[in-house]
Amino acid sequence: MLQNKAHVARVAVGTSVIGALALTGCTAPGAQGSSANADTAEVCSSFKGKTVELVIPYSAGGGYDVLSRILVPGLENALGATVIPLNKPGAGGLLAINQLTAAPADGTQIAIVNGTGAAAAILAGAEGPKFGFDDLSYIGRVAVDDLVVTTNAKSDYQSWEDVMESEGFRFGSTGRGSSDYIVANALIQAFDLKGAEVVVGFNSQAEADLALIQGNVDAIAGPLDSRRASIKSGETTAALSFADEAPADAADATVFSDLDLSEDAQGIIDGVKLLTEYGRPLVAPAGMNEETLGCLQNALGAAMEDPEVLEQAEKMQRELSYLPGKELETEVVPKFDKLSKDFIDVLKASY
Amino acid sequence: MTTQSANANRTGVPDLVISCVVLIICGGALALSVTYPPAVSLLLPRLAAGLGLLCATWMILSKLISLARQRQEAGAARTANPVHVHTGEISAPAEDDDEVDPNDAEYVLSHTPRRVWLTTIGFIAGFFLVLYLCGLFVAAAALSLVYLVTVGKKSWLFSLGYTTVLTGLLWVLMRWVTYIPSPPGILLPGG
Amino acid sequence: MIDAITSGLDQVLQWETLALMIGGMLIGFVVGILPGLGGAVAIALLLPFTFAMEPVQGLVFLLSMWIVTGTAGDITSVLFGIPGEATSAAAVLDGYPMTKKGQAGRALGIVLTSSAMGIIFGAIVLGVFITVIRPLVLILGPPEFFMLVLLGLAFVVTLAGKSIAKGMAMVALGLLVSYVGSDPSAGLPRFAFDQMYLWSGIALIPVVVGLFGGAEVLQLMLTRSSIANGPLGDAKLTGSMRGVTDALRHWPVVIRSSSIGVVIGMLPGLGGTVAQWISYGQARQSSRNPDQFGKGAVDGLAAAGATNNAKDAGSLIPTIVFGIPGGAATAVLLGGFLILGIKPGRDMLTTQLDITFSMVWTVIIAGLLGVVLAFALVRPLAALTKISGPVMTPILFMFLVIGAYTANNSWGDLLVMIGASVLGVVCLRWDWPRVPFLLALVLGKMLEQYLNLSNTLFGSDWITRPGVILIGVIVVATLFLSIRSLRRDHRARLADEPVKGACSRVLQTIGRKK
Repeated sequence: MLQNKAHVARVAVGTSVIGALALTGCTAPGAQGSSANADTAEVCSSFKGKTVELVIPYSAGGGYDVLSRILVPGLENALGATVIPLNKPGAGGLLAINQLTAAPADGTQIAIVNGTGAAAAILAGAEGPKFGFDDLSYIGRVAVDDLVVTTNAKSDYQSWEDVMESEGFRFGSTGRGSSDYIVANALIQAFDLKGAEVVVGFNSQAEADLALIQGNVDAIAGPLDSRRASIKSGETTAALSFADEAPADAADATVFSDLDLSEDAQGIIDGVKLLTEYGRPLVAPAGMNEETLGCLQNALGAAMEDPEVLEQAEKMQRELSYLPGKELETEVVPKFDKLSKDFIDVLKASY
Repeated sequence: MTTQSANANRTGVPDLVISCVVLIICGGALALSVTYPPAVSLLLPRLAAGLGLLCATWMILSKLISLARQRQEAGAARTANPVHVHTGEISAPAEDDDEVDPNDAEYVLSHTPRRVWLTTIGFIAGFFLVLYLCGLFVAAAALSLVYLVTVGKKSWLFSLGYTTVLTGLLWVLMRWVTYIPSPPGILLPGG
Repeated sequence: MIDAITSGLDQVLQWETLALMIGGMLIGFVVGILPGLGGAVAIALLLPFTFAMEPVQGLVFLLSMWIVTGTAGDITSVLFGIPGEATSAAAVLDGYPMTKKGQAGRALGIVLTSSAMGIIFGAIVLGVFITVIRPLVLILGPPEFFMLVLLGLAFVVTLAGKSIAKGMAMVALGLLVSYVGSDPSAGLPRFAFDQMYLWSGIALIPVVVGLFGGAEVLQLMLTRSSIANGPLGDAKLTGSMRGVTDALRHWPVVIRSSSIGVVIGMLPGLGGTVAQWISYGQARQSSRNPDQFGKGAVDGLAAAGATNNAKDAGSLIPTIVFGIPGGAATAVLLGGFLILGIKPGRDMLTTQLDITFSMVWTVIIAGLLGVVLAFALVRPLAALTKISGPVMTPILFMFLVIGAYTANNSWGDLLVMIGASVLGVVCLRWDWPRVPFLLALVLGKMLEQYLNLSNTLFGSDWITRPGVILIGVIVVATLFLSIRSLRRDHRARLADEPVKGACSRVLQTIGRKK
């Protein structure tokens, strides 16, 4: 059923995929020819003057868009190729990745992924992702989501302890399957918050924030990037952070090392932390030729140290967190098999 | 005779057909809404479909009645005085015509010769076909060149110049000044 | 406060800053003219260029660019019938018919003047009320949003056209289309036919572009004549001054529409898409020539222009006061503020009030300069409408394709655009109203979202909130007035009594000349 669906969808909407398929027809023989027994440098020189599409599964102006555009000059410098950022929003960022996994694995198309969201959807067996963890080649992780829980600065909940003693606590969320829902749900389960619920249906993060300031919901859980403005404006407080050390913008937040967690709770929190560790990786379709992937991985490594990239990132206030593709593949991805059942249940209940 | 048939067209049969389409869409949506799990919120979609069904049914019934009446009157008029019905029927649209210039959409769409319609639709279909195959820039160039020469009756020189400028500007704007993605073609993904 | 106002002005009136403002405006103008590309994308792309600038300079650059995109977006709506953004769709309804009658200059004059008035009004509200507006934003929650959306939908009765049954059928269709995609509570796809493209719903831009632009381009191809083809065409190619006086003459409509724009613009989530229809609907309802709406009504066009620009000033309010963006463009703008080191929130209303006022001044100055710039271009732009149809057609095709494609960068957008064009043509050919469809499409999803949210947040208690009751009364009054005027129109038509009014008289003379 899925196969059939994918086919129709591709014919109808994904001409770019077909386009990329056609491109293989032109470039693949060359790439294969040179890869036969060439050293890395020579293979990488095959990128010179080529065009690489960096697919961003969200609209221009959003967090992923900004992050990707920061990387572009660094990747271009390292590869000698033209890297074109391409926004392809749809289906919560999954549509573009579905299309990517069907694209040729020749390095002409790579993408940044909302790893947290994609991993959660895969693990929960949700409808949407038509790929598994093995259907992606990992170029490397670019950044992680600093998850925080924010509360109204004037409410009774100024620290996580306050929340733990609460009754009928309400999280605001844009909808099921989004990270603000998953994290909130995980927290409710892990801390067994009495009568707590997640209110879904906010149209955007801005509206959820407004509801928080109006006192219609008690907290929002989600990436710090989306919360930064309201924290800085003094309207909201970061009560809890998933990072090991509270980030600068949320210095007073409780961190988990401050808390005594039961084993079950630890299992769930570790699950969330693993999702964030997967973070925002740069990926390519699976089955990519070792050397081509190696080129891209090295290029990303170089890009993450490129002064131009670092400078941009600092100015745009984006924290980078590089993890080489190989480590992502061998150290992070296998851990997905060992997640606690409680956490998987939380995920399943979040879709 | 032509005015009378156009008149019937205007108020009768096409409305009936469109109403039927609305009826089918809304009925389909209503039927489809039953297949979703109860967690899916369907109150408003169902209300909307219901409203559509109601309006479409109303339209169909009233059109059928007026069509039947028209036919009856036309039959009666043919035996008695054909002019009488004519004026009665025409008076309302005639008043409209006062406010309608030849630029009016309805007038344009209904009075364009079939040949022009076919050429136009051919061009549109051709454009999207080329777009699908070769991407935006080729499609833009092909459309402007062919359209200007054949329909615009412009000289080859003018058309070529125009095409070059248009495609060039488009290229510069979308690939150099800003990178706005454009539809790629299956044969020419770069374009 | 006075200090802040003057120091804010001082900070803007520096040579370098003004130069950056002009630069930003020119870019904004180009981006605004391109259909589909709104201020959000422009700000996102140009954000990196502000790094080297002082905070106020960067702010001025981004703000002036964004403000001008709104004004420029109305220009394509009026000239080619292709809305630059979903929020300038209402400008097509009356602007383009005027252009077709050869009054492009006048139409541009109206829309630009009302834009300028809207901007100034919005900026004044922004400046005067920003320090005290906090409570108002805080009491308006999902229940009030729901009622406001309902108010927008209530105007459908006014805008439905001659046959109420046809209008309501189109409303039903529009609502159904708006419900395609993930449902707001369970997050499961509805009416998506296994197409992931449809999960996030039908994008508005391709529909607007097709429904209006597509149908108009087809007509242009069929007639093969220039866009401006009316009997008055030759004499009134420019006449922008007449447009200016037209807009000034209709100042009550402009002020009302601007107020609607500011108030709704400052509510995150509602924004311009809702505001334009409420304001267009009230303009028709209060008009002396409601029959002219959709055929080139001066007051309708003035309302559309004013709202479209006033709402931008409005959406700055929550952005500055709470750090909550009022719309997509302000969301990116807010990111820019943070990068420039400008912290939204209470500081902006106290210690940094001067920065807030430099924003207000930027909105005013850039808005006015943008309009002046646009006026300088009215003559050449209006001349475009006299170019022969076949020459314009390829350009307009590009507008359609690029405009639709910017929604998701997907072929699905083009298919939606083509579908919407077909619908538009069918509607035009057999006299079914398009506006109710669009209105329902725009509002349907919000209606559902806010209803669900109101119910989950407040149970059934939300119905008794004072704001809800107040807006509810307005909704009922609107419905009552619409139905009354509808019946009056109906009787007038039955009595075969041509509605008197300046415009219809002009048209009658046209009819006779023909």
